[in-house]
Amino acid sequence: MRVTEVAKREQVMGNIQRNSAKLQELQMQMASGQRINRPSDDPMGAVKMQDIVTKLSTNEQLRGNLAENVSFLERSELELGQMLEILGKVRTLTLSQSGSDSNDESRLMTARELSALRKGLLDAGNAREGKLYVFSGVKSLTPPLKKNLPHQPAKVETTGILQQDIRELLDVSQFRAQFDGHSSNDYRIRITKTGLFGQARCQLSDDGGKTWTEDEVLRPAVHMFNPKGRPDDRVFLRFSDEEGRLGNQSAGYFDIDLDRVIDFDVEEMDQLLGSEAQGIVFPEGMEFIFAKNPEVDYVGSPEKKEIMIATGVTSLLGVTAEEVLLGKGEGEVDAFSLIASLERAMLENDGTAIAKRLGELELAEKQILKRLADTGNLVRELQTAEMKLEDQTFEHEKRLSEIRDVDLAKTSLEVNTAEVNNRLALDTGSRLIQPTLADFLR
Amino acid sequence: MPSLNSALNMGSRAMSASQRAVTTAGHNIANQNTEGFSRQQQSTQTAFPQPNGIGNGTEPSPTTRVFDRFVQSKIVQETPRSGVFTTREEFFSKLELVFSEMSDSGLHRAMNDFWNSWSQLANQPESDVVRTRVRDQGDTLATRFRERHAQLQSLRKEADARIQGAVNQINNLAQQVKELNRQIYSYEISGHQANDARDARELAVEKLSKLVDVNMIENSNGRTSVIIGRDWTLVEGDQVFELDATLRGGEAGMVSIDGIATHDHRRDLTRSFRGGQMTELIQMRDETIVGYMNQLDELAFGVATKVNQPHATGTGISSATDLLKSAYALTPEARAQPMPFLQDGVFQLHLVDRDNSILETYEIEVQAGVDSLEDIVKRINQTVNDPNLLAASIGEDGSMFLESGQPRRFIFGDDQTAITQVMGFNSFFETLKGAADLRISPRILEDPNAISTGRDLIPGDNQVALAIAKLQNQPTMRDETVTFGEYYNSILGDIGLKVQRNQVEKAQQDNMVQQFREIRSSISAVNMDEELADMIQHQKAYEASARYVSTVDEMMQTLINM
Repeated sequence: MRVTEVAKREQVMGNIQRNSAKLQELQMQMASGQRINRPSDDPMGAVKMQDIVTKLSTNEQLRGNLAENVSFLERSELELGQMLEILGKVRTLTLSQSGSDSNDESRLMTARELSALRKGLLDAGNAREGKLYVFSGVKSLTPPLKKNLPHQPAKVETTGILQQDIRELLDVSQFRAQFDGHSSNDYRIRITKTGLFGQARCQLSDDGGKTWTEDEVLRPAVHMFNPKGRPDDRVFLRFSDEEGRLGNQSAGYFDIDLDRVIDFDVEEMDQLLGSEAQGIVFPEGMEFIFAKNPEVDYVGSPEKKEIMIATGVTSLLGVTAEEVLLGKGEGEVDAFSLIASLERAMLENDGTAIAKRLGELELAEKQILKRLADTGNLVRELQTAEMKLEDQTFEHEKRLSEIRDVDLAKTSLEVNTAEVNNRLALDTGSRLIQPTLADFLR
Repeated sequence: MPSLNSALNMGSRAMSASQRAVTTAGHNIANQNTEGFSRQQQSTQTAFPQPNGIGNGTEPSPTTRVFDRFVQSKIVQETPRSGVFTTREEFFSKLELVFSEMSDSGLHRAMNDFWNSWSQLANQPESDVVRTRVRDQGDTLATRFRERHAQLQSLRKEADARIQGAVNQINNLAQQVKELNRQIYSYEISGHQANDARDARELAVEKLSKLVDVNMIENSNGRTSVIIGRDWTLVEGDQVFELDATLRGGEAGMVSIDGIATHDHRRDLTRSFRGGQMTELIQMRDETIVGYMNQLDELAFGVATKVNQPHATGTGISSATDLLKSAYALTPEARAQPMPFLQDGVFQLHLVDRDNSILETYEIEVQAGVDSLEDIVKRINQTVNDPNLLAASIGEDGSMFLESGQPRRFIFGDDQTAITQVMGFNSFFETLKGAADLRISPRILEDPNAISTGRDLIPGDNQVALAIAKLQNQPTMRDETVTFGEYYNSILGDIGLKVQRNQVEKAQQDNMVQQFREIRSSISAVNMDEELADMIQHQKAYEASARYVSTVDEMMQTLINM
């Protein structure tokens, strides 16, 4: 084949170009320490790399989140421990006062202590971590526990068996009644026979109308007890007028228990029936409904924050004050009502009532213990998750390095080879191009 | 017996033949670096012998160039493909940079940061700091999308500018071919060989072949027709039918290519090229880059809609407002027509009081494909039935307003109808075109507390934020088969693979062209040694011929002196 100047030049230049390009690529790799500097260096590797980078950054965020949640839960644990301690003290106090050797003075002192402990329990329930209330569920910016006022108006209804003629005469909504004090049950009082005091009959339910007492004569002061309902509540009905005088026939107040006062205004009815009636007429079928009014209400949310533990795995964070202190389910205990009733029993110097509550106290403690255990478990779960993430991060980093990083030994060897090749190309090129016949002619 | 005179003549012919040969060698040496030059050969033949059979010396034959038409036609045929790969490589290396994640300003990284900020907000929905982070990352992500889009657009502009440049070059080369046709014709008609002009024409056509696919057909009279693309006759003899890059309809700022025939008849040739840089430039401008832009838009839309969906019906810490304006507006005609994209169902509006508790909930029913914006506005007002509480209206510009009477404020509740998204109420991102105009809503830019994390204004409720954070790992794109990250990675991988494949193909094609060029240069190019040898050979011949002439001269002298 004929070799020409142009061909020589092109070939030499081509070789030098190729070698330079290789050298440049290797230089880039060595300088950056990375094998992949643009997607085309290794498209599949570049995609994998992005994938790992994403996983790494997700993991890092998750770990941050977990740490945050663990510290929140640790705060919860602390407060739950505090609550347990308070209940423990309540139990010790109760035990010490349940025997017959206690006197009313020591019980009075204990009642005061209990009241202070109750307040402490409320504070623990409303504890905050930063600006967040720990036991509030998702309503995290409002305190979860609210003390109720000791009075609440009743709803007055008729059950339909109200006699037609009286219904025309009476507007039952004009009866007004009020519940004084606290109660964890709904109360209903139903008139079963129309009449005045001493004539009318009534019955009572303490479970929202499911079970009723035997009906009895409605007197200005009546003790009632619903044997089929909640066994412990003995209700004392008392009518009083606005000044609080008892037993008066023109009275307008209705008391339940000592500090559970139901009061209602019967003026209007009096006017309607007054000309004939000698006092207040209670129509048959009228019902007073007193919603429950516990010491403390949960105003947080039953919903809990759902947190991400790992990609695609979530868990509910924390416990609510309702679960811990108020007991929303069957067999669970409202610690505040419990302590309040203990206080009352202390004030009343009622030893049997005190002893009776000990069982419930234990339930309340168990209730907290259970949540404490749950919280502890979740903390451990989160810590395990965190460790797993850490392991994953380590693995990912290893893989990332395998894909991305330059094998220094191998590459520097390649650099050497490429360098030698380049020099050789330059060297032979220069020898090939320079001489022509002209150099040898004279 | 021939005369001495004729012997003298024969000597002078031989001398001039040698001289011509030396001149040709000189011409070859002088042009050894001239692009497209084919070496020329001066051959001789014996002159017609004398009647008695004695040789009559040499006679010049025309100077010819050493040229292989087949090899040249292969080069012209294969160069366009090479041009395609060269241009593709050039643009892809720039595209690669646009999608490169090797720097900190990558889009993928911004996406990761964005989802992570939501993950953090889901964990701490009450935190102001994290809200600000979400806003900032959202803003960064939107900016990255817009930047990418602008970069792609400017790459298209670059391709467009180069198309215009290529059109000019083609016209220029066409003029050259035409001029050379004329020269060759007028030169060869008088029996000469227009070697250099033919080389120049060959070169011009070769240059054309870098730009477009080209065919040259030579007529009997030495003139050529040059046909480019599918069937456009660019040059025919001494006529040129130029190309013209013109702005016409379609997309603003992007040229079409017209061929101008006689009587100013125009034909659109934009799609008729099948090789060369021009083809790839058009392909890049109209298909490849646009394809990536569309994918980017799709991704931007995907992120915006998927984030907006839970966001629109959610609430943040200060989401309740007494005045809300929709992000999107409808033209006067569209307001009365059934609104697109809606779904059958109800949407809720909650009226809330000062401390964020819900006072009233209104449920508005919507019939998809039937209700217009005006209908819906009317229905809201009927349902609320008191403009002092809450009133809906359509503004001058066609956007929808909701306004509550103070001190009451309102929020959106459940929305089965997608009206919140369609009109852009309470959205996180706003976009009409995709990546080009993706922005976070001005309301959020102003007040990060308006970022939705939960529902019904419950501050610790994180269900919306959690739903958004989970989007990162959910199959959301391509009919819900791949995640956002995977979708973006597939663009990245696609570009990488194309670059790689193109590198291989380009190397092969370049190699092939190079081989043909080597063959050509081995045939046509100048070898110095050869020329020098020739030169010396002819110099010696010249010297010998001169000696012959002087010998004849001496003989004549002898004769005269007799």
